[in-house]
Amino acid sequence: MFAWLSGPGAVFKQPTGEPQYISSYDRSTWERKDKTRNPDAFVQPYPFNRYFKSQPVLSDAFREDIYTRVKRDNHSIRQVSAALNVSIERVAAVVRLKQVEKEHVANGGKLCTFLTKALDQMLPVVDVPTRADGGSGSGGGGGGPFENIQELPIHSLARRQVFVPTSESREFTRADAGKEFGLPAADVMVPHPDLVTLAKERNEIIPLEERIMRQKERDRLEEIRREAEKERAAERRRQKKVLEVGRWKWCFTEAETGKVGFRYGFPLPDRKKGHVKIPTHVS
Amino acid sequence: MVIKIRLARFGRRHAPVYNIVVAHARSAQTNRPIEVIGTYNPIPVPPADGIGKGTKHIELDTARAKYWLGTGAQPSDPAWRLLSMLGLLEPKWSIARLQSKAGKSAVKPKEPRNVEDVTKSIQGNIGIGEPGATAKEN
Repeated sequence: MFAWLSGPGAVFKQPTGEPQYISSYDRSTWERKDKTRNPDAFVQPYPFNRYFKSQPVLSDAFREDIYTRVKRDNHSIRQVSAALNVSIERVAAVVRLKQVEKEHVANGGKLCTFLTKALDQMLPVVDVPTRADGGSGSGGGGGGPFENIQELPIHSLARRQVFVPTSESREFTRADAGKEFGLPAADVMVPHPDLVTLAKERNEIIPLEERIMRQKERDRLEEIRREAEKERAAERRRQKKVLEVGRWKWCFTEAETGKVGFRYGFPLPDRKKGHVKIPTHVS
Repeated sequence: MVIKIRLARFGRRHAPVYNIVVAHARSAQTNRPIEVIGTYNPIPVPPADGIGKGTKHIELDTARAKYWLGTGAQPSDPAWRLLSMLGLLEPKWSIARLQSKAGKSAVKPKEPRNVEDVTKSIQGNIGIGEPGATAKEN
């Protein structure tokens, strides 16, 4: 054992700045394995548990890049997510936490980076992608996107089994499947439906200029939609007034006579059969 | 007949909700009013994070409320309280309390009328020859 400790095992004595998993070494020769040929060995910290994989983490430079793209360049979180191949939730979380970090530093606080540094030595760290198309040198999978950004969230409505008899001649698409579950099509439900459209157009061999034209039109419509949504939100806020008087907050909402109020001559329907009054979920 | 702006109770036992209605003063609470101009839920919605104040929700057609006030409709006390919070009316009770504090009204104030008098009488308990002195000796 001591021969091993002073020989090939010496690399495990001190941290070297990158993950040193025993699985990444060949057991007979104690040579480092080829990362491109078996990338899985480099993310497997427990030699006997091959199902446990270290998940890659974003480097600080990467997180800073995400923050500047959102805050300084005013890109939407969706755009940054699509450009860098990082999931929408992760981008949002990075921006939030970076904001907290910066406020903390601005208030004269100090950053405690010990744990981050320690974890960066134990986990595959992904740095800022160098190419413009977003392919990042992933420390885990060895070259490729940081994560799958098009993961379809499983809706609870889609968890049941459905048997739908259809004729063989009928083309049963994802949209039809969604309709059976009472959901939109999977192409619309994914986090980035616009990327699906782009890929479809690319496969249809539409000339580049045409594709750019279409995308511009879509961007314009999206901009209009977002503006309208902002206006509606402002209108809702205008109609809503919250006052703090005494023990309570009082929320006043503008209503319209004829539409507001409980109706006369109609009993409340909550005693009817089939109304579940026990809460079925916690909001 | 006097037109009133008042609350009409709906909802169930221990779960009141009110319509803010414009009605003739002598009509019953359950009668169909002249107009329903809003709702009031007196049961506060607890804050989402569990910290801070609960929220009571009020829906109101302010334009109609202003119109009816302009025609001389008389708000009931609870309706007055709600409308004054929105700034449609002068607050009724706080002014009355202020007046009563200054000795101008018969409404009983919540605080003692003159704090100095009370403290003096309490302290007088200790001193000899004051009204409270005999009580102390007993």
